[in-house]
Amino acid sequence: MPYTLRPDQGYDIDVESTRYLESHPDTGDRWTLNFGPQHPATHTTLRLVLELDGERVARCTPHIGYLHSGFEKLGEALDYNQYVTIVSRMNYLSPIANDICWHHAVETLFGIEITPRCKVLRTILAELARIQDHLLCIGAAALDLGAITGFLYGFNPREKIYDIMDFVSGQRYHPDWTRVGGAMQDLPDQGTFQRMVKAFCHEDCLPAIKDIETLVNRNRIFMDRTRGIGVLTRQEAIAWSISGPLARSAGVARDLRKDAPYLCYADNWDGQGAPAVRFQVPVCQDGDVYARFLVRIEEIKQSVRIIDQLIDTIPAGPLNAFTDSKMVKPPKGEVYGSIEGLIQHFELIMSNRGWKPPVAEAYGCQETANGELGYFIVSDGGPRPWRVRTRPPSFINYQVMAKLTEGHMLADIVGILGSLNIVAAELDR
Amino acid sequence: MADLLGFVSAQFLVSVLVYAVIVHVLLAGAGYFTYLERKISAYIQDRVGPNRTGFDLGLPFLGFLKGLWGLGQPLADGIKFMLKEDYTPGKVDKVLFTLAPGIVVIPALIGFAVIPWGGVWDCPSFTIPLLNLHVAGGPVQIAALPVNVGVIYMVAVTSLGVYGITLGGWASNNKYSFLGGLRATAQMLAYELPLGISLLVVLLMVGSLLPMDIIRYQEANGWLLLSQPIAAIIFFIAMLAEANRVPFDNAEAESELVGGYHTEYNSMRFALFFLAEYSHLAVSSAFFVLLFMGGFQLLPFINDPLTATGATGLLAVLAKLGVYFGKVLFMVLVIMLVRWTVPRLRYDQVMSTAWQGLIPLSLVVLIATSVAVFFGLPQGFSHVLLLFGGNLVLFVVLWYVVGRLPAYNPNRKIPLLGSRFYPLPGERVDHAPSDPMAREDRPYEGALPTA
Repeated sequence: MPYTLRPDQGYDIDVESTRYLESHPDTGDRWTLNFGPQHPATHTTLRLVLELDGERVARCTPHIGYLHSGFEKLGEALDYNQYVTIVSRMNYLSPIANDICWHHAVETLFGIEITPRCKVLRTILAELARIQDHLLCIGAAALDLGAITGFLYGFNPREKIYDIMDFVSGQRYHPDWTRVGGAMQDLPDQGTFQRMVKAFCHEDCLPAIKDIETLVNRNRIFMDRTRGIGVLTRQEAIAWSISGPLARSAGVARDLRKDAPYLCYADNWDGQGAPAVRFQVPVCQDGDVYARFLVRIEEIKQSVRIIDQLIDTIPAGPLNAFTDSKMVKPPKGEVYGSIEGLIQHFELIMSNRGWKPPVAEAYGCQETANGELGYFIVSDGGPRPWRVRTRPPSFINYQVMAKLTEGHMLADIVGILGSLNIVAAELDR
Repeated sequence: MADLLGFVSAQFLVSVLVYAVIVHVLLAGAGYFTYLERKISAYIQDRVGPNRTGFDLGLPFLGFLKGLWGLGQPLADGIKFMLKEDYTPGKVDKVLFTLAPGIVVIPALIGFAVIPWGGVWDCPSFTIPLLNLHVAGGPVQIAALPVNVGVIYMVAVTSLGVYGITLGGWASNNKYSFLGGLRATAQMLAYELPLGISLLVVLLMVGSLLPMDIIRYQEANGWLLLSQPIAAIIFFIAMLAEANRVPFDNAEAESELVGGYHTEYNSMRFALFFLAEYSHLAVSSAFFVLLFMGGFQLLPFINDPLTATGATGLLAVLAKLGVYFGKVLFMVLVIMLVRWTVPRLRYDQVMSTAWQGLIPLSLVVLIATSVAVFFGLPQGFSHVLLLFGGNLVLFVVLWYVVGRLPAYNPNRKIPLLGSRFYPLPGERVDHAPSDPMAREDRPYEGALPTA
């Protein structure tokens, strides 16, 4: 193939040397494989250019940007409520976690303290999103190694989460449920919501996890395929600023829910001394694909534990933080039935007159399924952010891809890529 | 006229008939194996599977054929394959690209020829009316090719299919296809050895290559599955690898190689690969049944009047056919259950399983069996007891010994000395973390709250 990544002059994608390729004579086994962007294992549109020595990966160069959609730039054109529809398209495996995190950042900027009821609901939905993401990832871990059954065991309960999101927000896939200081609407029926969530946790999620564990956890082939593959050490994880299950599987006990608590993970979240929700952060020392798999499974169980603590005691009271009706859209009945409601709706939608954000910068981050998801907002006092910068965990975690794969076999690439749980929409934004 | 047709004998006519019937059963069966596989995978995975494709073909007056548990799915698939554009990508080797599916499918469709599906039939004498040709009766074998090389023919023919896979992969002018073809070749070469050696174990015990002799031996001394379990398991594993089934489906590993050797194929040419795969499944299952599960014998040690080799009536032949097909179906089911349960081995693990595991193990079994055969074995039930016990002892001894051999980590990363992530000794590391926290390796000090 007349393709080389590093011509001698004038091409600066990769300036680092791989002297293995230069010092070892090519015995005819050297070849280049273009892995993706159209490939069943590159979950969406990731592209890896692999220089292989037989089936051994001598050099792996990830090329990103195939799903670039200008999401960050769109943040400058949409107001603080509208942009939630864009952020939920970033990590579409757990959309509502993006919504919650985005408005967490916005509320940090505005200095709004949300109500206890809102905190509880957001915590429950964030944990559901974590389960949603992890179920897909551990299912895909099995799928990428050829065990299709495990994938479907993970996928079936995800349907139930979509049903819950549908019930809460009216949208199955992209709930876009949160708003500044609250949510777009309260629960249609609290009893039904509680019943649905509890049924999901104990009748769908945990049995499915048990099935997957029984199927692959101690499967000799699965362990041979995953143990010692793509090892990330603790120091490397810190140095590459890896977060989330990847870092925790490498021995970095960092979880924003513990280290920078927010929502119901913080003590005294309802203003009356309520303790933080109790859960443990699973940490593994091995840092390989198998460790990531185990950490994710344990996180699902801990998420169910968190939900169990909150679901029966959803506090009553208002959902939205704004007591006056200037910041919150009035109910549809009022919009169509009274002139005050109509005017207020018009003002909020058309002119954003209600918005007075401070001229400031704010960074809000939360622990989502893939790691630390953060939004850095620069406000110039207008109705829209001046600049929004996302800290996407996929983008930062993807940096280690080349490091993890080089030296392994071609088939391991698929397993490593699956264990990183890269979402290309979030990676490229 | 009679001189010209002198080669026509009762055996010839029966062989032609058996071949014609079996090849059609196999072709239809391959279609319904796909249906079976979909249904089994669906039940394993909490799905429904095909359940609404009937035979009504969209015609109103055939409405009563709608549904039928999706049994029309293979037919619909077949029609779809036929009607799709037979597209040949540019820059492929057109001759080989077209030839490859045929090379794959032919061995799969002639491999079963020596299988004695129905044992021996005592054919009466008869005259073919129009030709006025008298055919002398006598015992005939219900097999398409009752030759005396027997099982050697099967081993020889079934391994030919890999030529088609390799050529197809090479002709496709696609790196994934090429890699799939190469993997298939290497895998076939590696697994031919344990397959052949465990076959040798059987031949040593039986002392004949004739399929009927193998069945007669198992009738007298119990199924070889009971008396040679290790050889049977090795044969089964090698059979999976030969048929490119999970966990050895590296040649078409869809998550790594897209589709492997058939990435560039579509329409009927792809269907031929598919057909060959499922025919191969049936043929290897029939082979396994012949060698280790007593062929058409219903149960070990119980010589019921219908399925004993001595029974030569028409009813006995039909009963034997039924039993044989039932066993083949059972083996196919087992292989499908394996497919939907385990992940795929990596390619080097496939190789080391063969060269470091199965081949030495099968050689040990072969030597042990040779010794046992040299000193003579008792007949009947004690034969099975003795050999099963011997296998058990062998297994335990090997388990103990192999567990104490130095372990080999198949997943170790090959350090690419001097690469950007593995600097040479003494070389400055560009990627060393500047953050002091990253350099020190202290355990996490924050106390985790407990439940």
